[in-house]
Amino acid sequence: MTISSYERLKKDTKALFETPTAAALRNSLYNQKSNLAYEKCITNLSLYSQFSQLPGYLERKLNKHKNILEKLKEESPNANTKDDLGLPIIDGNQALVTRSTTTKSSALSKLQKNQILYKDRRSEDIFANDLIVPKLHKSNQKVTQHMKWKMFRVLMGHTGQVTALAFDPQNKYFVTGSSDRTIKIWNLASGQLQLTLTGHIMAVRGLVVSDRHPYMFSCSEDKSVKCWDLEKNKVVRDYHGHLSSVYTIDIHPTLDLIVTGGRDSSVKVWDIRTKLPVYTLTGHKNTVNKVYCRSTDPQIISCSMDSTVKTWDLVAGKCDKTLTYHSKSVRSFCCDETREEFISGSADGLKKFNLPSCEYLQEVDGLPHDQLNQGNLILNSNCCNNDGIMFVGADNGQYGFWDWESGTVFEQGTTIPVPGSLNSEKGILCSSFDRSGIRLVTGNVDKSVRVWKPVNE
Amino acid sequence: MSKEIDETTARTKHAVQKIIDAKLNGEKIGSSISGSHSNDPIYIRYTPSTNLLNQGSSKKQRIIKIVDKQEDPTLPPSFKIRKTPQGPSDEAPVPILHEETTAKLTKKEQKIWTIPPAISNWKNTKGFTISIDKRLASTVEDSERYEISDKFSTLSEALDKANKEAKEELEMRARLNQKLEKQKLLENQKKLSRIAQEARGIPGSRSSRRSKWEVEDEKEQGNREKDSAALRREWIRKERRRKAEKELHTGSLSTENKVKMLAKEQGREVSERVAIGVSQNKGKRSAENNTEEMYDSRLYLKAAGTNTRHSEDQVYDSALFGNTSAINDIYRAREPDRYKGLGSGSGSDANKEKRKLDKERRFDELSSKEPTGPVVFEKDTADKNISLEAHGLKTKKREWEE
Repeated sequence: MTISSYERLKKDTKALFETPTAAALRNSLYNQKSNLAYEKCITNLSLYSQFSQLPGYLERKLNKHKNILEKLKEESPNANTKDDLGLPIIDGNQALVTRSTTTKSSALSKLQKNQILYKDRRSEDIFANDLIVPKLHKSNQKVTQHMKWKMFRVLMGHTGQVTALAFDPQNKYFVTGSSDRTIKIWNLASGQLQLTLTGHIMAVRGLVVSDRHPYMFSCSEDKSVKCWDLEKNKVVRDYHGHLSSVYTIDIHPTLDLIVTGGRDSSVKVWDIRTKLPVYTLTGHKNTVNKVYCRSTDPQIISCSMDSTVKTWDLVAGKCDKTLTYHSKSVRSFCCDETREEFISGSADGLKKFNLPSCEYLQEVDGLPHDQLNQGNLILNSNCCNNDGIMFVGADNGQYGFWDWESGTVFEQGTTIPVPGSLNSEKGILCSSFDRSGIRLVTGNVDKSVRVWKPVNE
Repeated sequence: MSKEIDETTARTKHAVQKIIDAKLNGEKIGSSISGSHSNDPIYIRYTPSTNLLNQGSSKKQRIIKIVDKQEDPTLPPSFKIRKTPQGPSDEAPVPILHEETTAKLTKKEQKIWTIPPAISNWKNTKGFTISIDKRLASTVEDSERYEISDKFSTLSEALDKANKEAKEELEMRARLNQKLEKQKLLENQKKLSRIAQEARGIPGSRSSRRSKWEVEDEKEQGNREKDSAALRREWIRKERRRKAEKELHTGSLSTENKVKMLAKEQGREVSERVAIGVSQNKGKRSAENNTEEMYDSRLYLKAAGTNTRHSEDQVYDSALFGNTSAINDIYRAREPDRYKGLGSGSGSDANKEKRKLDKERRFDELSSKEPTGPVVFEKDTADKNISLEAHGLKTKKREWEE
């Protein structure tokens, strides 16, 4: 910022706050808020345009990388206000006067507009950065009534903790992967074990069954990704390239692509048929915990131990947006495609975002937990169905059912470990609603697979 | 919605297919620059500068053909291919939109968490001087931890005291016991001496002789020196005679018996086998040729020893008491059959007789109790006092004799 621009800024503020209307507004604000908030308001709303007047080349560079930072649209500068080099004209009183008036009026209008917009906001959020203030509020959300969910079946069979879950498209079977290196196929209706598949040499960490192929894909801690033919029950393809354990896998809903992420903090996109890694998406700074594929942009969403959620542009093969709302490792998130929203879960809470734009919508209620005495509550898995219910399972065995719209918990509890297992083996590692949404299956540390259903009270 | 999906799908498919095709064909993505590279020669019209022209070059303009030098594709690369370090990422820095959850420590908390440097009281290899407060800081916690309560000392004191008292008491008791025993012994001795005096009263043996001397002494006192000298000489003569007689007797005895006798005089009893200093080889060899003395065979022949010597450790060819092993010394009840035959050399008649008797079963009761074990001694049930007295008498006698 040059000296001249600083002077200009001073003048502008003077002009802005010495007009009678502005003074009245300011007084009203003053009564409401503290000095700090007031200052925030100034820097945030009225004077933003002043700061943004950078040399043309810098501005272009900024625009190139513009993302979620941009929320207040700058007034497009006139062609006259810039000289050949793209620098704003320093000389000339007239230009300065005109601009100051425009900024003043625009700032005022923004203030007024925001006051209307934010009238249902919490008082402490009024002057906070728009980005970090949730868009929705609990007060105007109506809580829908849901049925109680009860566990009605415990399936034993695995000899290690159950780490992965997937449903087949016909909803007849579901598949579980375990740290005993096996994949087991169960009948959903009867709970009978149908088949055990072996092939991985370390814990199976991710499973997905394709809707459009007779294939199942599995990923494992042994760095391998395998494609199983469910007609022959054999491995037909191997996707080689990950440098460390592969923790998560998903299949693209419309294209023949699978996406994997793992401990090497990369997200890899594979072509199913040719086994080629189409993209290696780098950007995460730590283990990738979950990836999710969508048919529309953003086509890939991933969350990571570096406490970020990233969306990826599949056409260009690079990171689209980075969400840094969490301060702890994000282990899981789930997407509601009908509402176009997703909720990410971390030890510091659950947060709801809307989808194409990834705006922060809402802070979702957390489970009751004494963080001081028991440490962080690690949320291992969350999943949702089409009825607006979200399930979250934690590492200490706590679970909860949420109403998606309002973000409130309507049922919660702690799992009881299977007799013969330790008290510490309560954790829920993976969970998934079935295709119809009226059955919930969870995989636990105590080697059990538990099936839940809603019951009328 | 479906339209949007279709559109994005098509777009993505196109992009992905492009990459896949490129990868399948082994091409590098974005290697279009290499395509411009061709082997076609380039022609350049060259105009020399005016300075050179003045120096007298004949041609004004030239056309230069530039052709790439033919390269041997099999040659190793002339430049080392290095990986360039990754530059700054394209992405703009992302604003951090969460609060820092870890609060900063206050000074007080920091103080609590400070860990003093480890300072050893035993090692200081670099020889640094360590201030006393640093030493204290590193050890003060330990001293606090290992603080011993006063009660330990009081307990140990009490224990010591009790120990002392108990010892004193024991000593006293022992002394008292000793006194009592002494008293008893004295009484016993008095009793014994009385008995001995009574016994001395009986004539015979030395005691009477001694009394004779006493009488003689009394006579001496009566100024009869002549008689006393004569008596003394006579007594000495007697003694000498006795000694000579004894020597004569012992000279005729074998060494073994001599030793035995000596031992007997000293109050020891020596068995036949273990007469100290009298080795007697009673083995087979000695039985065969009694006159031959024991020699190590190696003294005479070198070769002879090789047969008998078994190992390096074996110094002598045969044991000195080889056949008189300890086994022979142990008492064993002999089998009755063998025992029977002992009396008569061949003993066939006697055996026959014995068998006959056995068959008759005349001594059923006796034969059932065959003497298989060692001889059993029965405990003496005689009056203790008397036995003690008898013992005392014996010992007294011996003492006196000596």
